[in-house]
Amino acid sequence: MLGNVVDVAFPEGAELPDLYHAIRAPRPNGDDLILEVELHMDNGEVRCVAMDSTEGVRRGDVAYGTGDYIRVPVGDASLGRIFNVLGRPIDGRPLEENVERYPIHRKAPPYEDQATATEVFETGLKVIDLIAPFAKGGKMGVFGGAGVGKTVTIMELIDSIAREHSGLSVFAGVGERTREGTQLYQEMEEGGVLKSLAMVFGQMNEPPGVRLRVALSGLAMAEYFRDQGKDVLMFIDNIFRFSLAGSEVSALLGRMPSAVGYQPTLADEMGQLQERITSTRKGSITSMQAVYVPADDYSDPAPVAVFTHLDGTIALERSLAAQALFPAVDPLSSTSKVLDPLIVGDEHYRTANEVKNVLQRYRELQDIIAILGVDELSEDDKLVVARARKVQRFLTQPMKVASQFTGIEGKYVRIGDTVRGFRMILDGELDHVAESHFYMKGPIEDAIASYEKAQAEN
Amino acid sequence: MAGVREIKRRIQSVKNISKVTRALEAVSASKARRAQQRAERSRAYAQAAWEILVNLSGQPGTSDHPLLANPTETRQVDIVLITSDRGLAGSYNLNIIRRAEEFAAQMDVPVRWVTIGRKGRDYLLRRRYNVVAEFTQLSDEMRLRDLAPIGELLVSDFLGGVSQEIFIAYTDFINTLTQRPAVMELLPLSPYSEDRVGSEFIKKEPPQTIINREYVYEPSANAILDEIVPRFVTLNLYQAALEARASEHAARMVAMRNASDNAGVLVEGLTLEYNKARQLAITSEILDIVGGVEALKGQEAPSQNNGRIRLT
Repeated sequence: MLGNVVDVAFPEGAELPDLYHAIRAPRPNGDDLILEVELHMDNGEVRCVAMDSTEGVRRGDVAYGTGDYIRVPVGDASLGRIFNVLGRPIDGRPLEENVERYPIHRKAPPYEDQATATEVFETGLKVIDLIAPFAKGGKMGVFGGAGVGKTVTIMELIDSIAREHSGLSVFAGVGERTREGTQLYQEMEEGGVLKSLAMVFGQMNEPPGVRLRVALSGLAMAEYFRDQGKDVLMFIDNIFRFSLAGSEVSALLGRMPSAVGYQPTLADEMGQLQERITSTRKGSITSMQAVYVPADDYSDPAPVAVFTHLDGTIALERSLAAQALFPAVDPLSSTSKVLDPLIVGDEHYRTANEVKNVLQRYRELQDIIAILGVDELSEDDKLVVARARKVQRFLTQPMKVASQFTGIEGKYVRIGDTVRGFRMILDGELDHVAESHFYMKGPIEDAIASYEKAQAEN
Repeated sequence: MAGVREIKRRIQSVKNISKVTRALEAVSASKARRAQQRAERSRAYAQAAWEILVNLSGQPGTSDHPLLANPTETRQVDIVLITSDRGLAGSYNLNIIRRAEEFAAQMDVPVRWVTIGRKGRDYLLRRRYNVVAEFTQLSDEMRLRDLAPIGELLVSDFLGGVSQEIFIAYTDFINTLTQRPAVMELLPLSPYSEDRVGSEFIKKEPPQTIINREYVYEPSANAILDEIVPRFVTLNLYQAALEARASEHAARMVAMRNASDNAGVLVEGLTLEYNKARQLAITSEILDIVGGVEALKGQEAPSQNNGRIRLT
């Protein structure tokens, strides 16, 4: 049988399985194909989406309702392991007997249990900590077109956060490259933090049903820890593939496409998922999601559907990546709800805003510079441009996961150091230092040291 | 991708700028031609006057003339800085200011500045240099007498012992594409010796035809020098101002031509981006409509299995 949508007919009078329940269809070689019910049709048929390739199953084969949702292992048994969407380990080791399992379809926590984020969560990346600080228990999205560094940024965050915060984390790989999953596994193993990480993969080679549900599988694992009163980190790379899979499934189910060819239920599906990624009074889920932006178009319905759910957005910009300014975070379109003087403090808030103002002014002057040349600017504007370029360079940072490309060790910078560094540039204390000294540096002391070294050599 | 309207607005603003630069380019071109002619016409006179002076100062008994003698001790120098009143001349002002500033940095005595032109004055004042006199709004049609007050001021300072050396920093007009920032010693009127600090900044004087003949001056050589040297100082200033003015217009013309070209390139790029964004919007709208129509038309479910759409 070919295709990812399977219709299953139940005998007349038999009770139909509930929506989203799993159906088991044995293959001739003994293992089961799992189907998930998506649609009830008349005459006792249900339309299902396959959670694996449908090879080996033939028309007319017998299928059995399991009477339950897909359930995935949760708790300690999930840590240090890699699973597929069905909760089956794919790291070659067997699963313990009688592990606790959670269904992948669950309700979002009710209003009265939800907690709001008011605490900053240090990431060690200057540009993020300054402009779009993470909230503990909040949701952040990393937006970017193809090849501007979403995965690298997420990986760096996982790496530094998992290391520095030594909490539990769950990684859901949705429709991305398998190689990246392997790389992550090895890095976590080297870093010795594998024991606190659970990973679920449904990568781009797998059928749409898998990519549609794998985020939920990962989420169920995170929810369990949260319900146990723990603080969990949830990483999803890449949430756009979830929308894309939804669109494929939608088309296969025969729904009429809506704007830009997406499924009509796009916002609803996203809402179902995102509402569950939330912190309660018991525990928190801090999540980071990579969001692919098709054709760099931020008005595309898929990224738009994600925007509204987030506490903050980190926008990666191609033009910055093209200038080798990594991480290519655009400070002018990145935001965070916790960038509030009451939460981050006045100094941080003021510095972040001044950084944005300086960069905004620089952007406005760029046309004039392109036409008339930098000499025609007034003295004040020249100073703004010089500082903006320094700020822009100081926003770059060597990343640990990219050290094989840059040849520079990754740097983790404390928020206090970050704010102080930018403060010094904005206050003109470093006007005498050439802009190249700020490029790919950790804290401001590194830039000053580089300048002094160059001075000493002359 | 930026919104269609946003791009359109930017194209318009770049186009407006390029209109200004184009107009200024045309104006500067005609002004440059005239200023160049004036500078070149006056050059022959300045050259001849210089020769007279050199020959005169070679006469016995003139070397102790106060305006010719090298100072025994330099306690203060004046620098006359010639810049333009207006901007949009590329790096014209910046080049000469930088040159003068570097030269001043070589001096180990206090420097006083006399500025001709607003740009230089503004720059020096912003950096809190000692500007003792400033002259602005020198017309394109300037006459020798317009420079006379400046010359008199400098000569009286020099004779009064306020400053022992006076330099002039201006831009030498070579041709439309090349203007060279230059520093020249105005007073005393003796060649600046090559082993002194900052001599690499000093413009080399053209070789002179030295006449090895002794003239008889009436009533005396010094009496003639008293008359001729202050005039010559003003003439030198005048020539420098003419050269600077020709350079300014030429520099502005070239800068504006480059600016217009840059604006053209920018408009071209933005237009491409605009067309792409516009086409993208049209395409996606058509896709939506066609997709909707196709979906409504099809009676068969797009399922790959057997079913038909049966709405429950």
